[in-house]
Amino acid sequence: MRPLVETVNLKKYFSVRRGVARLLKGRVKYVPAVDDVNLKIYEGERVSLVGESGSGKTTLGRLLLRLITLTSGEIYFEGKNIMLLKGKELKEFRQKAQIIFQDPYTALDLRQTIRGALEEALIIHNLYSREERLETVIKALKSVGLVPPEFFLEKYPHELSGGQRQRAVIARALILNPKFLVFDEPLSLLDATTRVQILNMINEVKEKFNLTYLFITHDIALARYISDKMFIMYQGKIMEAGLTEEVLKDPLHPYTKTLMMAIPVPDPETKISLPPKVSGMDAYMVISLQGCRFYPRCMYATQQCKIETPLLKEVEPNRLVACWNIKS
Amino acid sequence: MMPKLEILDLKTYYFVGPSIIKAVNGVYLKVNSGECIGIAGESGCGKSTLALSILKLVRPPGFIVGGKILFNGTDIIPLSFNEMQKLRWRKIAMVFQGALNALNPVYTIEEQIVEAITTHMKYGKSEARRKAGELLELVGLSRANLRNYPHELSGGMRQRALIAMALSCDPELLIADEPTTALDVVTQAQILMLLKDLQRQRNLTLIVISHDLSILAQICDRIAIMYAGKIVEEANIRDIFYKPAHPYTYALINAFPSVKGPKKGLFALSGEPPDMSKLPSGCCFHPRCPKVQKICYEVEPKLIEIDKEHYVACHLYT
Repeated sequence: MRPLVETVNLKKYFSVRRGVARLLKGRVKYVPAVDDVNLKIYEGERVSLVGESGSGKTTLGRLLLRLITLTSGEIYFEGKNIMLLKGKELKEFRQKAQIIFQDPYTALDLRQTIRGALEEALIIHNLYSREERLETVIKALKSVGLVPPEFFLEKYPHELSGGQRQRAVIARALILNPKFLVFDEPLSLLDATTRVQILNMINEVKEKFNLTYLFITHDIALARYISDKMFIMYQGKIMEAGLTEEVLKDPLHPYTKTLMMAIPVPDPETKISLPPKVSGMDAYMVISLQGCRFYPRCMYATQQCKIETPLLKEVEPNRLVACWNIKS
Repeated sequence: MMPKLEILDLKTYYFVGPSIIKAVNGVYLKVNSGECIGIAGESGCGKSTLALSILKLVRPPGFIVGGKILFNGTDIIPLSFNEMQKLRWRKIAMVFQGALNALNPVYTIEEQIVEAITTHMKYGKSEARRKAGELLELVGLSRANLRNYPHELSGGMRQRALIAMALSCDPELLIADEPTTALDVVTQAQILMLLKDLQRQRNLTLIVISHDLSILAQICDRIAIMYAGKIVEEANIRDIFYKPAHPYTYALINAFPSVKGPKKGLFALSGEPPDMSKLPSGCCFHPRCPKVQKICYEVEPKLIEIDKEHYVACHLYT
């Protein structure tokens, strides 16, 4: 079966120019935000992408939708290289692939009503007649739980709460019947009780619309409730991939293990513990392009890890790990 | 034994134009010496205002309009600015929210800690510098970090520096407002363990404010749940998690996903937190409460003891 979304050796390096003098000397530093990522997402799959801040997860999400350009590699959507799309084909892609941003406060135009925001998407893609458009907007609002929809149609974003705004943003993405969605930390700015409401709502609409999505989050516990498959990302590399429940039950990569140990559990009986050698991320930690990215923080690191970069390999059915110490 | 801190019917209101925002609206809280108490609630429930009130740092248009704050048995509300200044940092210190912005970007870590020490204690410059170095080592940084500017440190290191600064005058009570938001999980775990160690080693009394119950579950002895400016439940940590009495506590605990153990369904509470300038009648939680009764619309429930040291404000128990 052909994957819906596929990346081949995808790389995105951001240049860090440090002063004019260095630039003239030709010394430009690079941050490998996404480095050699190969992933496949099949239709109907709900995948989460988990990583700490600075791991490159947002960059990867934006690359998949061609919101930024890539450094090298290929991205395929329905078998077509999206970087080569032009004109009508590109517009079709824009309709089929949608993103939901983290901050619902800035994702909506403050001077546009909810109806205006949702209708605009339909107008741009030239869908439906005028009357049908209103009907479609009402249906979309209903599907994300903004009821009664008539009450929200003429509201401006500032009149809504954070949770309602995020619902409106999701409605705006769903109204185009997308085939693929990227959720970029859509719940991290919401309060605990609102977060559960939106989470349950997403779980409802994913069945109704048969959504395929990539859910970007730093919260591995949340990933459990939203995805069937997960990718663990660290400094631009995928470290581990597998079925969500299996990865959580038996994490193989030392980084995944560290994450699992560090995450606080809402239960006073289960305390966090950290492996002895693990240190936090250092702001100025040099990312070495040689060897394993996790090497400086890994308690099992060997000489090989310092020199050679491990590739993501299948070690068990449905489980990929990039670590020298794990043999299939 | 006299509690370290006792708050009685505290009210802190913000007077914004014609409306009054009752951020802290009749809070009762008792904190014993050496205890770590967590204050949990959603954004806008008044937990940060409560913390600022304890230090009397609420700025206009916010004012403390009533109640008592007894610190070591003395009410601090009538104290003058100068008298209060003697308590701040030397007795009660605070780690402010937002580690990334709470430090001054144009001064080194050393200058900032030394300033805190020399302002509040009779220390010479060199003595203060020596102490600053010791403090950094205490929180897991090195003396070399003294010369760094905040932007040269990572988020976790900045948070450690802030904790060092809060400890600079050996306070008896430390208030940490959202000490780990914006930090990565591994760094967060380290900061939590550091706070717990400090509490044990120095017999600190600790108040930790967070919206995240799973963080409080890791370090607190007792937890107070706040909703719409009031404490709705207070109990030791096991009772809060295993025998929650207030429907809001129940909802909040079951709103947090867990990575370990069987996958439980998450409980979704309907509705939104109330507008603090237009609080609902009776019990503020009644519009969202799954167990609402007729009385809840009219009468405000009082905080009562339903079990040993387990307090709840809910009509289900009256």
